[in-house]
Amino acid sequence: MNAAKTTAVAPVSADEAKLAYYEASQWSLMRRRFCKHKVAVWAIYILVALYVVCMNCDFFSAYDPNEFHERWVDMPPQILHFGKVEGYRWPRFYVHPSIRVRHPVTLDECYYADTSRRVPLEFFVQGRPWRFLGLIDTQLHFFGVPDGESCFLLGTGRLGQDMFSRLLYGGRISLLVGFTAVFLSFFLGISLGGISGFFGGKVDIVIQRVAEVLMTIPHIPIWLTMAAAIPKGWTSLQTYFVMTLILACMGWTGLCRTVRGKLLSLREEDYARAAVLAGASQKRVIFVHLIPNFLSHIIATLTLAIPGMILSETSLSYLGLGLRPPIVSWGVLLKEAHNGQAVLNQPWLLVPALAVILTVLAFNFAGEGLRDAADPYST
Amino acid sequence: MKPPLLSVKNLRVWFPKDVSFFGKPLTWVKAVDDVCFDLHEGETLGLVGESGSGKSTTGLAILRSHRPRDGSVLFCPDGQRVHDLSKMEHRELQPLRRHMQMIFQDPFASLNPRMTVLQLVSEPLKVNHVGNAEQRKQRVRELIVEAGLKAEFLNRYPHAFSGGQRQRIVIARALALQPKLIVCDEPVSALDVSVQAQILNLMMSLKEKYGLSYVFVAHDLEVVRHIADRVAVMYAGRLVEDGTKAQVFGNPLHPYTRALLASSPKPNPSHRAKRGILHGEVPDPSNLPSGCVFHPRCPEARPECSHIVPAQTRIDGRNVRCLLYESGRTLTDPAGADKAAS
Repeated sequence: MNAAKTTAVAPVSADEAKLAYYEASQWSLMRRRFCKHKVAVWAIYILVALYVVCMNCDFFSAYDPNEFHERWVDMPPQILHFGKVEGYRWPRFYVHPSIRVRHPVTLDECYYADTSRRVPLEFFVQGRPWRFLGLIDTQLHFFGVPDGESCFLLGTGRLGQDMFSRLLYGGRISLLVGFTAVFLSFFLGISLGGISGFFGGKVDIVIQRVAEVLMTIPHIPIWLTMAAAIPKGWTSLQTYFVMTLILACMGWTGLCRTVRGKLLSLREEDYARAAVLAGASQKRVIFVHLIPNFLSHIIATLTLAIPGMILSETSLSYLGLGLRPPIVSWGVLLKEAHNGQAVLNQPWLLVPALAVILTVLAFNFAGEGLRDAADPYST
Repeated sequence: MKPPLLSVKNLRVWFPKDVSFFGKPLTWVKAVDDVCFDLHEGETLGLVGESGSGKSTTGLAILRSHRPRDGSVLFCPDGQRVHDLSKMEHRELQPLRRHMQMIFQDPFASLNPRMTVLQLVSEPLKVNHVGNAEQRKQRVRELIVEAGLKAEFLNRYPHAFSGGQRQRIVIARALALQPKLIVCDEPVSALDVSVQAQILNLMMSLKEKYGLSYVFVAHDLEVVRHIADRVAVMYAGRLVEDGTKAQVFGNPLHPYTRALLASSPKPNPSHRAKRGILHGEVPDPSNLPSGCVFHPRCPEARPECSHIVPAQTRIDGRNVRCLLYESGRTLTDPAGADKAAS
């Protein structure tokens, strides 16, 4: 409690700080507690950065993710440097151009960085056209290099696609799948769990048994069947929506139980009972006393559920059941890297795995911080 | 004659314990069984007993937080019309709720952590459509001052208060609608001893001022001695004895009451009572002993006690439920028989 008092925002005097604490609502107390959890705060920053960059992948990527560069196939990453570049007054970011040669002994194609030249990165350059928010036509990109030069920060794939651009475009799909699938299952879970917890009795028994049956079925075979049911001729967008639906159909059970359990325990709380005894209507008890008190828990649970969805999508696509090229997702990218040769010779193809790990970790830490902060009695 | 404010008759609160596959209860937890008592206006009834004796359940069943299985709860807030709360539907109860309020045991759980003092105390007024926002605010200000808090606490949240202060908020909230009856479920047992006395004195002065009647559930006999006019002792869901404070504390009749009084700690060590009278624990309410529920632990148990359920016997304006006092019943006294044989 003392620690919370000292973290009050810009106190003019100790008394005012105390008063601000006494009159702080649960939401602001939750924010304070969350801010004390440094790892969780950093996780939130990372997530925001990831989402901002991936949702605006058209802007942040230098190349089209499906554009083939036949001059630069299976090229290792061009390392980003910072320093003086000829012809410019101030130091700036630059890359060394890559040159393709034949290995004198093995006769394999290989690349080496031409350290004698420095290609400066230019920011806010005009490039291929895209549409901002699907509305405004623009050609502006975050960075680029002059025509004829290359800038593959994470190397290129088997067909010469820019891995950095593919990572961002894949992130857009994978991160969005997590969100939309969780919101769909949230909708299912909260309504079914709410009905189950509030009305109880037979409805509760039926819903809980259905959830239990769904939980006992191994997920992979179900995914296999459902994914096999998607017609081949469907567009990638349709496949994408069906995928999120499949994930949501399997994922709502856990949330349903959480919501039900929380409702059952909150309904028995003394303050809910006190409201009923004061003459409050059922509607008021639900909307004024129950929902605000479990909303924070639900948000925390949701945050913890998103990485599961992202992992599901990734593993499905990796198994070739989910999204297929030309749609790019982290799972699709990992599928391309799933042979031993790639691991040995093109380790940069595994960067999407790092992105998945980073995202899942960040969601878990953020969710844990939120969960701890959501408990009104922890000080 | 004016009907009593509250008259509880043969109240039974049973909860299903094991349920068959089709939802039919197989065994019951008999939390409250055949409880009768009256409470007159301006009186305080102390309901005492060990934990698990059903005293809190009785309190909650009076306010219809639990639906009784049997019996009646006759409530007469205006001295004329008698309402049987036990049979009413939720909607019919609504207009009567303003005459009966509750003070809970744990002031940390009974205040919604997301509401300010103003919102908390004005909630009963708001849901019963009393006054407009400004009038309610004024009333809340008066109420919390009356409960011993400062008027500037209005916008604070419960987390800013200590247990005693929170219980004052709960009291202010219970008073908001000027009820006739307040059921207090161990209102001071979660508080420090010094704070307990303050809260009890506050409750007593409010009772004088507003003519309140309390059903005061407690396990602490000293607290009950301090606040109650009448005392009812419960054991395993049954009311074993009730009478005025002087009767029950001065001359307890039921063996359980005697044991309970003897077991309460005495402040003066030279008056230390004989200890260790009672052995064993309160029986499992889903599997009660036959006959008198107290017979397995009773120091004065007779063979009949294990199969005859004692009826409520009235002696000098008090009730006791024990075969020892049932008139017209001759008891075999094992001790006496032993003496006669020797």
